[in-house]
Amino acid sequence: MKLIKKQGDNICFSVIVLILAAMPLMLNAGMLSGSSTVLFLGKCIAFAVVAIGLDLIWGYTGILSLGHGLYFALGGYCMAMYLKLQQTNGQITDFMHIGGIETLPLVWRPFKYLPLTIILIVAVPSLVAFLVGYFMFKKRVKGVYFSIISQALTWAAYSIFIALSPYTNGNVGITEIKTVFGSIKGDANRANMFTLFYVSLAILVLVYALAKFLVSRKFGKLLVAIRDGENRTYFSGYNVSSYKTFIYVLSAAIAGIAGAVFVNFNGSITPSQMTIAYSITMVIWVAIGGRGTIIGAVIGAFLINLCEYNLSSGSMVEIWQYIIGAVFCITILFFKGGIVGIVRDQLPAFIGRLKNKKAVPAKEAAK
Amino acid sequence: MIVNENVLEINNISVCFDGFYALTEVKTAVKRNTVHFFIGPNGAGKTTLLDIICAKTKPTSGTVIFYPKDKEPVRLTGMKEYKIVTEGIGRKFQVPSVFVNLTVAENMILSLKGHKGIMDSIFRKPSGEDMENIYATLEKVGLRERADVRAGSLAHGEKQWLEIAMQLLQKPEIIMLDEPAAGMGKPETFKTGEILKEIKKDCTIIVIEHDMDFVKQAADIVTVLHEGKMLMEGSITDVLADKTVQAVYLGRGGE
Ligand SMILES: Nc1ncnc2c1ncn2[C@@H]1O[C@H](COP(=O)(O)OP(=O)(O)OP(=O)(O)O)[C@@H](O)[C@H]1O
Ligand SMILES: [Mg+2]
Repeated sequence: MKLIKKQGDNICFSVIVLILAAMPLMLNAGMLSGSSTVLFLGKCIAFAVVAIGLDLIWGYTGILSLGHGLYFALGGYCMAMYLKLQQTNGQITDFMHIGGIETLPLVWRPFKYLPLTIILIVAVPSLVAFLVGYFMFKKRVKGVYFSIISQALTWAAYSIFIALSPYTNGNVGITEIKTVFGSIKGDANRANMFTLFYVSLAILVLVYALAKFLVSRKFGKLLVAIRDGENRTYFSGYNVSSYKTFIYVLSAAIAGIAGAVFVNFNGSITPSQMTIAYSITMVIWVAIGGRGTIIGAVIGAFLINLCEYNLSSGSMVEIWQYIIGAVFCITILFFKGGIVGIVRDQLPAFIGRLKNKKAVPAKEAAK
Repeated sequence: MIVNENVLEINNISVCFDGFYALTEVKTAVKRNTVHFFIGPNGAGKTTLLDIICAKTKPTSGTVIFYPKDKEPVRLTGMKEYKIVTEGIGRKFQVPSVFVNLTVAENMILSLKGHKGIMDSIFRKPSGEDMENIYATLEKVGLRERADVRAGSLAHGEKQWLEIAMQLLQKPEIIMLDEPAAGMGKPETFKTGEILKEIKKDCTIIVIEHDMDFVKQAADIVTVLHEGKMLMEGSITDVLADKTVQAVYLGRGGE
């Protein structure tokens, strides 16, 4: 019982990973109708990864970023640019042609090479987050103001990506790409798909382990300290703004990695992944799963996307947005700890109260 | 080596908030290893004075000089807040502000001296010596048994003591306490006074307080502020005997 209480989140995560790991096997055994389920779960893995990053910055440190879609998309674009150049053999793309560009633009050139691409997937979001974080946290921009500015920046980036359509293909985004492991279409390429899936799963495990490691150390206690009493943390002698910048950059890097994973399963990236709405959706996953727990972020990302996947086909599609909005509001108002909070704190308390109630009449009856 | 017996000198500090003088030409010195009280009616500028010392507020004019033991004097005015902490000046706020979601021990770990960098806090675990030090300090304030309790579930008095313990751990030369006994009952207040007398062996304590019994119990020197100006300074008996002090402060329900 004690073990479950202490290791409950790790046990839960292991179960999720095992179920995911079994999916390709089930597909091979003919227990799944098609490969679309596996592809969808692959995207969910990406979502869980970005949610973990968001939980570090919001759940632990108390900084609500409404612009993580930007970092997710930056990682995604880096990946997509590499994959696109694989398709064109390093030549310029058709949308560049249409945009009147003759030779491959300088910004595209590093993406001819996979190692460089992998570095940039982490480095580009990190650099942007560093510039944003460094100035905002140094100037002590906090709370709602930070959230609004993070939104505004995302919106600005969205506009820029659309405006620079000869370089980014604007609204359409970068499409018609395969994955890092080649094509995953059709039964013949199933091995490729499985490799991609297991590599992504490994990334999720690594990111989860990293996050768990960080929050278990003094570093994690400091994040909580900054969330609960920023001034106090300053007076304890910690340079709070550099801690904030560090964790913000880290969560942006994680978002970038998630975006890169996502592109592989999605087969395209568009500026819509960079919108404010998309960023807020990510926050909702974390809130409903349970912020400040890491596992909550994973649960939230999977659960909500699974619901959306199953419900939003057919008649539910129109009201899905309202349902998720309502659930979010109820969570924020009544279940601050989200699903994890309910299971860990509220449910035991409720059972305890029930037991007490039962015990009292029993005693009275005994009299 | 001659050790300056003053640990802090406040030289002609004035603070002006939009034309309103919260402090006017305050000049005093704090002696090493004493419990130095600042008292005065509400709005006298006591909290503002602490804000000046730890650089949370910038003075309109004047300087604060800190004389560390065995080191060169330091001018505190104009320094960064967190730098002042590393120089050896700790502060407890008026509102209890322990980290409620961390345990008592974790709160203490965050307050350990040194190793405040990001890499240190990720990779370095507190040493056995550090932990011993933590438990010894908790013992001093009577919280040894409560080390693994969430700080949020401590009683009000215990939270204040935890904060004092957290300050002590940084081995500061000066601890500033803003109304440490506020909201405490008589026995708790008395215990707080005893804790102050115990810890002044290791450091200097600057206290703001309204409770006169508490002042009598623990004070070495008392400075009386009134409407931003210094009214008088001296031992508690002198202060209590002073006519002006009685008129502006003690007469008004304080005693
Ligand atoms: N940031 C500020 N801006 C404007 N006025 C301020 C500011 N801080 C304090 N004051 C004013 O300065 C005066 C002194 O305030 P201070 O908090 O130092 O008083 P205090 O002696 O600590 O009082 P109390 O016993 O109520 O704690 C008050 O009149 C207060 O309203
Ligand atoms: Mg005050």
